[in-house]
Amino acid sequence: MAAPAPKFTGASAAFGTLPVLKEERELGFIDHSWINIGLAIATWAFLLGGSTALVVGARDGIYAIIIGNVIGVSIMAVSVCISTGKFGIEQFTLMRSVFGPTGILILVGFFLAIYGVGWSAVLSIMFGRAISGVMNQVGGTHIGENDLGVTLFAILAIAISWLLLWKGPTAVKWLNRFVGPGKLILCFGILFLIFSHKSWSDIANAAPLAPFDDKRINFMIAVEFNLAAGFGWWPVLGNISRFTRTPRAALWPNLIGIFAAAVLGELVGLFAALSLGSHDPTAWMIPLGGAFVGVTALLFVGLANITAIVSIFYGMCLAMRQAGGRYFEALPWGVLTGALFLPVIVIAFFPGQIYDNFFKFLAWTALGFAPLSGVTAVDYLILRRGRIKQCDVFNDGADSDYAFWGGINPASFVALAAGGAVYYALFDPQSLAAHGPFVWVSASVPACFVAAIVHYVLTRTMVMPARRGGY
Amino acid sequence: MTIASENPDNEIRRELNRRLNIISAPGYEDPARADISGREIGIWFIVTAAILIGALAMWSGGN
Repeated sequence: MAAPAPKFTGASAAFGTLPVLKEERELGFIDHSWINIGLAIATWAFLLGGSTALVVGARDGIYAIIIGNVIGVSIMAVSVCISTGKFGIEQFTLMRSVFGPTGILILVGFFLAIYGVGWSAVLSIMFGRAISGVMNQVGGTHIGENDLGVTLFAILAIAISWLLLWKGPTAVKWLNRFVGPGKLILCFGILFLIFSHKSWSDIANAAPLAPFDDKRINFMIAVEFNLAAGFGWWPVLGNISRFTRTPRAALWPNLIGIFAAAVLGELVGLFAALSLGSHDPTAWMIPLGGAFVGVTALLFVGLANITAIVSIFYGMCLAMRQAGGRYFEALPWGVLTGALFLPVIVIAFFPGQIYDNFFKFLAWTALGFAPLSGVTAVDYLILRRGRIKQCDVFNDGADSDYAFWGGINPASFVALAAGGAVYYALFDPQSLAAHGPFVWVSASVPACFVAAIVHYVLTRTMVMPARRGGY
Repeated sequence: MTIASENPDNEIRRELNRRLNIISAPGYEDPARADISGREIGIWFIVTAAILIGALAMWSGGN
């Protein structure tokens, strides 16, 4: 007979990383789908749709959004959701079986921090621009889109997010009850307003906002942005699917929720950007809805961004604290979260450089997440055949199967580097310069497959013969 | 406090051990812990490939 559950006194966030039991799995197929829909239809979907409109028109944009998202989501979902759904273990703890305990600390501390800080900076600047728009409309101010006022409002968003994260993450759950349905209403509201002002032929004939000369490259860059969006769910979804009740409920809602809902949100962004000639969602609301509706929509965008920042940071801080082990355990939760917000504050002083170059940040993240998806998929599904020693995942000692060499699996890191190098060789995320066969195969897809193949070969020839990794 | 604490008898470690004992008990049944079938993964990729091919066909048909 199992021992009775203890009464927790610590209220530590780290309890959230333990394996979930059957009675704690709350998500069936429908629940998981709804959560994913709420995640996918967010202000970032509008930004992604707006970024797509930079290089392609409506028709090409629709197909680029579908193609990029379906490839990215199909690979990303099998790479994280099946394993976390089965074992119910926090994603970055489970990934110690791929990268080793020290390896995952490096990965979380470096890559996830850049991802979390980058996205939070983009969303806080978006908040800043939204509230500046409200002030300009209601208060008669004249805050420009890159003025200090935007930065100050962005810092206000960061401060509110930090307070929520520190003192009351449960408040975000309460807020999300309004924000979730509100995002759906906003989506359909924008669509209604667009089509009440413009005909389909107006939108279909609208020129992309800032295309390159080559039409084929424009299309593939648009696909690449959306591949990045699909692969970009990698650090988020595993920690949701671990609460699902069946393997089917862990996998398929990603297609219904993430893919379909993200496509809808991005299409709204694409059409709005093409109709209004701006890729910035905060510039759409007042021209579309007039003063009252526009100001209300902007206030809602601001609120939605706060909840999104808190959600991103909560997962990131949890992962960092768990991966950091005894190095981070002495840090109070408020200090850890506050320290991670500091770089976001610094970045907020450069709204134009960050927010208006959002698509470059997106491409940089794909350089990391596409290879990560390939490595984690091949490791769990092919090399391990779905078998992981749960005790060893939580064991930091040298006797753990997943200690590899000094806590790092070099095979997985070499594979990530190989995938990243392939990506960079095909597509420069900074200049958006395309090389070689990019126009036919994109950059994310070959990066994902090369990383998977390198990891498979190195594991078979180096790790397994050395009897490391518990394969 | 984390699982990796230097103190091996911390509150989280005790709870982790309790959970691992429950999960590894022979009679423990949790449908979520069943292996996903190769057929299910195959269907997943067939469906997503069908969406992809459909989108590619419609795009290339218009160009």
